[in-house]
Amino acid sequence: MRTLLLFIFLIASLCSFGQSPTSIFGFFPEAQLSYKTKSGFKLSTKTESQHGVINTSPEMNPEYDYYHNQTDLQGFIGKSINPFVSLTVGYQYRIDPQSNNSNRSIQQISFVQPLTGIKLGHRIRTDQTFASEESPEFRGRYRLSAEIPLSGQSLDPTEFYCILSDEGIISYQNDDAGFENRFVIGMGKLLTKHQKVQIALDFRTDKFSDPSIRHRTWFKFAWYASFSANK
Amino acid sequence: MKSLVIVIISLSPLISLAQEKIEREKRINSNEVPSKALDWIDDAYEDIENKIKWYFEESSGSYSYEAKMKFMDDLHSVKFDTLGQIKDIEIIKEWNELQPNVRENIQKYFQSNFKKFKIRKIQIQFTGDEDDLEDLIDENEFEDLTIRYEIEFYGKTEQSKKIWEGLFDDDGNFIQKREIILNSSNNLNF
Repeated sequence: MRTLLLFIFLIASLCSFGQSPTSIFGFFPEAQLSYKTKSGFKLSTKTESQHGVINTSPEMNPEYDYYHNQTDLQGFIGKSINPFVSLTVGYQYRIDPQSNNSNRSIQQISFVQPLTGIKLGHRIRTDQTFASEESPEFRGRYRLSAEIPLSGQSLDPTEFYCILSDEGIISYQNDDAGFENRFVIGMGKLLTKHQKVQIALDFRTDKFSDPSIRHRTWFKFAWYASFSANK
Repeated sequence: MKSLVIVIISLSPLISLAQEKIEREKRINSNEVPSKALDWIDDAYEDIENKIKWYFEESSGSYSYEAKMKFMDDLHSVKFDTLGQIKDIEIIKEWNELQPNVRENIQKYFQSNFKKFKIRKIQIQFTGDEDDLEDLIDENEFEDLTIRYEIEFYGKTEQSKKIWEGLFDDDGNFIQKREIILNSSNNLNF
């Protein structure tokens, strides 16, 4: 029943696509690999890439054509305070064919709440982006995520889950403040204790103060792998 | 392009690392449950108004059926083998619902073994003859039953900060514990 409701929501969301003045749709593959050292530090690397196929913004030709939007290469180092809380810092290099490539520093604290039948994740993040010919951009973000097992009350290897998240992002650049909301809904599978695959729709809305609010919808497919020096 | 192919090929063995202990829980309909188990539930929980959810579990190659329901304001979980023979009943309780002597012994164990601890979940586990287990539910009788307390807790020592599942006897004396390792939360953190 939960799976059925999820698919109805996904279809309804896709049907509403294109009704706003500015809409972008594309594919968003991502891969993340992390390794926990014996001393308890977690080293992570993540690659994510946005590939647009539809862009109806006024400055783009309303043609349905492929374009490479951006690719992010990220590296993180983190330490768990306890099984539920971890502190992480990271760096991102963005390859941006539409603009200048950029460097970003990232700081985050994340909390995991394993409850009966659901696992909640809270992430508080700040980042600073630097690109040539542009003023630095500073952002503050909070994301609430939920991972819901689709069979039984706990997620075990080979089982599917539903993923939901919403993130609010406040940005500040050149004396201008902005807000963006990111809502994600999707499904994943815990392949083994160390690996997950996930597909999701990522709805991003920003430029609220502009005459034409911007909607971006990305079809994400992700692979997450985590390994540890401690068996 | 060549380097991309090399990266993909070198990552592919990771995806096949599937030789692990498999524990699975699958929601099923009551018509898939052995009739003996359904009959026991009907007899023991005859006045139940809440819906009973049935699950089929696989753990380390052994299989069982499990009924989960709310009864008298508590969450009950009743486990049966594949022939429908009852194995145990687990009831979720709050700390202040335990007997004072049980609380005292469990508290002593925590205080002497951990610098800091936090209880996350308490289940009382009852095992015994099927008639005695039925009497527990419909007549609130505890005769000839083995009682264990299964407690999930966070424990901090000088060396570690971990989540544990501890097993205690009917007086709250420690029997054993095993570490609970959470699945990776990378998709929630990144």
